[in-house]
Amino acid sequence: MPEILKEYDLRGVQGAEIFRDLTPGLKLLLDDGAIGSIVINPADGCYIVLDFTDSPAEAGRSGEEEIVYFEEVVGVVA
Amino acid sequence: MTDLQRPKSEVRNDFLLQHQAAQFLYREARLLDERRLSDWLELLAEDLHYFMPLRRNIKYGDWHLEYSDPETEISYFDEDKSILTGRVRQIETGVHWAEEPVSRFEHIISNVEVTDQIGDEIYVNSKFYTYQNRLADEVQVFCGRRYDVLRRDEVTDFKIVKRKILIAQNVLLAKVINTFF
Amino acid sequence: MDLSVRTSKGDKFLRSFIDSEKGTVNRELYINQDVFEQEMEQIYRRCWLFLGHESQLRNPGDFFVSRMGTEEVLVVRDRKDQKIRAFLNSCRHRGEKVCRYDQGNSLIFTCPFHAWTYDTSGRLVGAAGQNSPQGYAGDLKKEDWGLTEVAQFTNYYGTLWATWDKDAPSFEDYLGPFAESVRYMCEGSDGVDNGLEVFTPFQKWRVPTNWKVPAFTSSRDPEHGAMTHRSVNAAAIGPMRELQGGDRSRKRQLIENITYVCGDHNLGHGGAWTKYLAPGIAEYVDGWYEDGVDDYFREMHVKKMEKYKDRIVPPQGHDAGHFCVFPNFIMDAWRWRIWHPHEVGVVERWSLFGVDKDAPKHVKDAVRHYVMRYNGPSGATESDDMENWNYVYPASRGAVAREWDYNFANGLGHGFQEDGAPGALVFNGNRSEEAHRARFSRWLAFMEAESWDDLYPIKSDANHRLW
Repeated sequence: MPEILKEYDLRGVQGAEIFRDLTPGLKLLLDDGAIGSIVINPADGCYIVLDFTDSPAEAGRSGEEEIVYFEEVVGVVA
Repeated sequence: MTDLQRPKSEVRNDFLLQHQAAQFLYREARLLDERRLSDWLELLAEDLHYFMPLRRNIKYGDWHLEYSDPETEISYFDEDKSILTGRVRQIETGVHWAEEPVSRFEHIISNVEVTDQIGDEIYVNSKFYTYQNRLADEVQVFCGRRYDVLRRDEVTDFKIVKRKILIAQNVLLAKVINTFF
Repeated sequence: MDLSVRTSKGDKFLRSFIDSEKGTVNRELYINQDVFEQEMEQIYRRCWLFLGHESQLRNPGDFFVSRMGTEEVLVVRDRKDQKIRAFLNSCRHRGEKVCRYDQGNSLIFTCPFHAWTYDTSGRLVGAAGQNSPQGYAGDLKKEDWGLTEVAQFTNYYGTLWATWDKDAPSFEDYLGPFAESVRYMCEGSDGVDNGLEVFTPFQKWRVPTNWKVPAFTSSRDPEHGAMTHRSVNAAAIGPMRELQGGDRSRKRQLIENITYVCGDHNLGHGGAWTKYLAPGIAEYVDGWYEDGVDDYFREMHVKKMEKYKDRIVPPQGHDAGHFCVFPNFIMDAWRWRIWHPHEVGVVERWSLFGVDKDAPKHVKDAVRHYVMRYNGPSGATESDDMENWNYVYPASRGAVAREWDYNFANGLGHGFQEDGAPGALVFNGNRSEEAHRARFSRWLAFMEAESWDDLYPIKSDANHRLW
């Protein structure tokens, strides 16, 4: 289990703002175990586009890029 | 235009200046309501810029998109004293149907705040609530903010040099604007 | 189909409200709730409607919200294929607006209700709970739940149009003889096609009247000008301001011509129609107050004169056209007016203004300031129109007032069809109400039609002409 970076508290009172401001390149862990790196953040505070090419195979994410809803994001990982 | 969170102390604590600015704006409103439009024109500087932009619905943070740009876009008003003088002449023909019969206007001015003073010019913010009643039962309300630059004047106390009018509407809910703010 | 509506005195057929012999239209058609609702179905669901201009969408992901009748549409340039598309601004899940901003640039459009989100091609690309084992569990077939796209869309020389009806004819066929007029109005002042851009944003304001009052009868309404706009020269808002006695129009010199009001009684479009009797365009006449503006237009005009030196200029002539594209779009040269119905007694007016896309700033500024002084709720000219159009409505809807007919008889019986003129163009005196009557011919045809099969192609013997 990769380490979740504490400086990005996506579930806290500033979670929406922190999510909105996440920069491309950061890696996000999802609730199904997949890990994707941010390609584009539309900065709407709700969705984010991730690249899953390096995601663990068992997580079963298909497609290289996918748009992900914030509720599915567990946290930012190293 | 200076829009400091807290105006400089020499302005903030200058009761006389605050009083003079407010009295000037109240007098201006009264001239409009008393239909003394030619007298109202006397309060405008020859180099006046009178600007009232359109307002867009925007995403939080897209502040640059909210108001129409006076350099490139369409506004309600973006003009000088000569055009305003023409508008007054038009009303005074008595056949400007949009304002004939003449309306009952009440320009309520409040929240007067002098924010800066540079040379003989002062920067004044205020709010307007303009109630219009005309013909039998037509009512319009225009509410918003103004950012003014006023210049000292011996005869009229001040002249209006710049006025930016921000109305709190997106689709204008009135069919016309036939007054001045 | 013979549509009837409920009135205070029982059901009546729509046709019974129009007296083609007397040239009258009953006020019921403007104030009746049933009529309004049938119009939204029979007309606004079928007609080609104006959305905006391509210059409002320069970059991938650019969007603006427009209207088609009472409904909002999202017009967006796709990030991938760069095509412009238009969609109903209503989420497929529960119908909330998916876009609540007037314009901008976006990657996706996310509904704030349950986070259904769509990309710039209208595809559903996400939804709250789409992957949740407790929710959709992956069963949501996104390909079936994209935004509702218009049935047909076109970019006509830069102007954007759409229809909800897949059976509508092509936009060019829909315009018929007025296609050339729309094309011509989109020329730059040098005569190059699609030479314009528009000033943003849309002017938008509400007028408490029925949409047909301005949309059907403002182009062309030659007899209103002198009276309605009696005061405007005092304001000196024209391009020359006080230099020309305040005249609000720019002076032009024209090739010898005959001016008509012309209505297409088959297709419903109509307005001013200038028949030029010789090829070419006359010399430029200076007409601007601001320094350097005439220099620019004079130079452009030479190019336009060259283009048309051996050709008869289209009927909108020079830069002075004024006509209505049925049902609700008025093209007054580069001043474009759209009348969006809201309710039977409320219309929302939008305006856009064109300018040469490559004009220097001082020229754009002069044009922009002119259209601001002239048009809109604060326009010295248009504000007087609003007053009249407004009070038509309350003064017509009383139990007594509604029994009386409006008079559309100006020029009735004096119209003629010219040999060789296409379709059902009826020419009439340049102060007549021929274009208004044409609009009502088409209006009734739409209201009675079962589908576009009854409306197009127009059969040679199926002239819908009422009058």
